[in-house]
Amino acid sequence: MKMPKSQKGFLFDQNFCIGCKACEVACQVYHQQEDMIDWRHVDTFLIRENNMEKEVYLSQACHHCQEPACMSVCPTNAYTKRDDGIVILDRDKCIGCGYCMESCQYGAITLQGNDKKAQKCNMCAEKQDIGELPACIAGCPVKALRLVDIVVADEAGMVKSAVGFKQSSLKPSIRFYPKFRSATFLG
Amino acid sequence: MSNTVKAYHPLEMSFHKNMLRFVILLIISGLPFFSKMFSFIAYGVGYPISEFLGNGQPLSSGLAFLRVIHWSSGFLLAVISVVFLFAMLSKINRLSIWPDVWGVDAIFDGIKQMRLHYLEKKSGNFGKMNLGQKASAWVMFFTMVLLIISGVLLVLRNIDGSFLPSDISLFLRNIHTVSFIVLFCVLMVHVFFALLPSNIHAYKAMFQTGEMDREYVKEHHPLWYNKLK
Ligand code: SF4
Ligand code: SF4
Repeated sequence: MKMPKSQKGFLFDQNFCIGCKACEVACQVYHQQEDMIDWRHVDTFLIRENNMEKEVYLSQACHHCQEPACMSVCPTNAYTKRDDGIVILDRDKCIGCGYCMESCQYGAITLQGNDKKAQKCNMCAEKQDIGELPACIAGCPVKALRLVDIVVADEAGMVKSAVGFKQSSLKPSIRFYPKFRSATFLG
Repeated sequence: MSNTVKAYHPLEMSFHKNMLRFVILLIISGLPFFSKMFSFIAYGVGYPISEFLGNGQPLSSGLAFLRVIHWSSGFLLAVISVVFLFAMLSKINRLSIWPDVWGVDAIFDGIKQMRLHYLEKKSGNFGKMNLGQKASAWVMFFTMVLLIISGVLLVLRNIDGSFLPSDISLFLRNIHTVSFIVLFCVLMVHVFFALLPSNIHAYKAMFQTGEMDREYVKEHHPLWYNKLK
């Protein structure tokens, strides 16, 4: 696979996310998603901190992996990786076989739409191309979501783990602000 | 007494021929989904279709068409298999897929007889089918059952995306793939042995006459011959 010149990704701050789901809604509205479809979704997890239980949130969409499983399994070659690392799905090529959905370990792809074709986050590539921010990032009221270059984020000490985040060999392009509190994950 | 013995029921011959056609169709139409190495099949089928539709998507058009072929030939194969199984229920013992003798010793003896026949070119003490043929018949039966069950569930999931969670459909797809690989290997061995010159009598019986020479059966399939007497 041709390596992209750079790799864009999301930077998420779990310390500050308030679980309001504004990112989820902004994505649904901007991409005019059908009911029940959410390319981005916010999950809630329970942790114990200073002997108190509290909720933390994780906002996830497609992670535009550096080694995307969806792209390697799609028999119609409907996925491509742009030079900036965004994994793009050409829905005209999709025949709805579902291979990509099964292979993505992040549940980022759905075939539940009316046309039964695959769909997922495209990091609002068309908005970025005209200098705008992705809808989810623009919609977050506490700036817990940001757009980063993964190399830069790594150099700045951003981390690859967060509560509820599943590691994988796909090299997901998401980074997290380091945790500033010690807590025990309860589920 | 006739010089020939009835080796295959017309239903067995017809089922075998049709199964062969459907299996070839299933393999050709399934390979481009099995690995991208075989996309050329989809391109080959897809170019005329995409020209006709004017959609400029030869690969997708070819795969969509092959998927229809795969589903429909799988469905037809499942239907004829079920009909065949029901029709043969009363003659199930004549299918000769059961061991003549049970036990570990019988397995070792079966291997010895096959070695005698295939390597030393002597007559083995066989029933209608030897140990290898019986074992491969069972492997083919079970892998086909797995392929059909997993295939039907995957088709249903394809029609209704919420029918199965994606980890279950991934598991089913793996079952489908592994069963196909096992079946394909056994089929290749089956075809190889079926085409050996020494197998010409059985080959003709299966594809043409349904009968085998009595003297040949007496010499090469003594256990079967004893049952016929
Ligand atoms: S998160 Fe899933 S859909 Fe997104 S690039 Fe990775 S494998 Fe593909
Ligand atoms: S569902 Fe569409 S995009 Fe996904 S693997 Fe199949 S053809 Fe490719």
